[in-house]
Amino acid sequence: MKHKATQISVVTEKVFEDQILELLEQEGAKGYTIFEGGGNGSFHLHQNQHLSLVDEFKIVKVEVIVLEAEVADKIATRLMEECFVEQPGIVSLSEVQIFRTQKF
Amino acid sequence: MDALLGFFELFIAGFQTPTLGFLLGGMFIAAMGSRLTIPDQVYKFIVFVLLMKIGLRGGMEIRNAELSELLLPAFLAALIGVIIVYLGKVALARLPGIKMVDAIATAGLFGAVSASTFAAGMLHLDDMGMEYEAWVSALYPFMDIPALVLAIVLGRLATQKANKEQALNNPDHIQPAVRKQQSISYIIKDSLQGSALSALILGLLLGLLTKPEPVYESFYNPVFRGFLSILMIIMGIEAWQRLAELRRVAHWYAVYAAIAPLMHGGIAFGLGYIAHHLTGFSPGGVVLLSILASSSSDISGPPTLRAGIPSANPSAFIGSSTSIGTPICIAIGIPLFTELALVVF
Repeated sequence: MKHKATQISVVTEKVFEDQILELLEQEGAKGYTIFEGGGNGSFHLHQNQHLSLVDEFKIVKVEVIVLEAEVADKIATRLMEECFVEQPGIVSLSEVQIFRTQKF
Repeated sequence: MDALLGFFELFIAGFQTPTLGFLLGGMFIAAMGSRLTIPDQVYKFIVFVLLMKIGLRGGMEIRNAELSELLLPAFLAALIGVIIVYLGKVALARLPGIKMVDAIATAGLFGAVSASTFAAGMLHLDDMGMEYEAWVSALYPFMDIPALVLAIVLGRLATQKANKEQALNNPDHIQPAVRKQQSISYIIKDSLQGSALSALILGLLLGLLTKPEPVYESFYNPVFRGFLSILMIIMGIEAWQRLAELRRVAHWYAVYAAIAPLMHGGIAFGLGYIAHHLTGFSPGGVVLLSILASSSSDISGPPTLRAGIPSANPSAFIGSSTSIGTPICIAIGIPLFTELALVVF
């Protein structure tokens, strides 16, 4: 009952979240999960523990799982070309196993 | 000489007011490594209440005001926003170690307006008993929006130029796919939808169209002072924490951030002085226009700029504005322009 699928994970700043979600929806992603957090990047410390006046600079991680590897590749390519030329962000793909194919 | 002495007296007295005293207190505990934090939501709520209070009062008083008098100061506010961004771009970009996009984003943030500094300025004038026009708070968006729009447009042009040069020097360089550009109307809409301007406009409308006097007298007005003091502690903590980030970028940002608020305020004071002679703009209004020019945005400006000029380094523009620009404006700018008005008018 296990099936192979690809998980796309996108880490970026909250300000850029809308663009990512718009692109995912265009590509027909059925759902995604957003996690908020902090971290340290190439030039900007994202403070999570203590107060930050601007909520939009928090780090978000958007995770989406698709069944077909080609779709995942297409989404990743579009993200890199359209969103992450100037903006900071990390896109990664990983193979995962899922149980209910109808959910993805 | 008397004026100078007066300024120093004001400055010392300023240390004891809830505004500056609490700001320094916030910096002090952050410097001591205190783990005291005030949640984000509280900060946002406080800014909302302060802007509602300013808006409500403006709205209630505008009912009886002569609105045609607003035209010249509103035009001047927009002009000052534009001058600050151009000046900052030209001045900063010439300094060593500063990238053009970072210079533009920093200038944009200094051109935009800080709600908390404006609130502190209004309270100071009320304490001094200096009168100002009811519609002064409506000048806020006239300076804020042109500065942000101009900075984003200039930032975009600078990025395009940098990409072209890179392509010329390196033929293998792949031109980035054209990303969806934000139109000017989108930037204006985005600024108006920001938390600060939404609250201010809502307050103005409610003050103008409804009769909010009972809630204003029983809630917004009495809590204003107390909430502002908490906000100042938060700003102090944030200022200290951002200093660490500012140290990671060129030191020239610190120099700019220390001089720019007073210079911008001075330009605004000069233009306001002209308006005083032409249309009778009140001395208190001139001071508030100078404080608007002197302040740099802390809540709504940074995300707008970040989204508009993604290649600019946020440590540079937020660090210079929050950790140096805002404290200088509150500690020196507000008493300086008030004292200047007492001498000039």
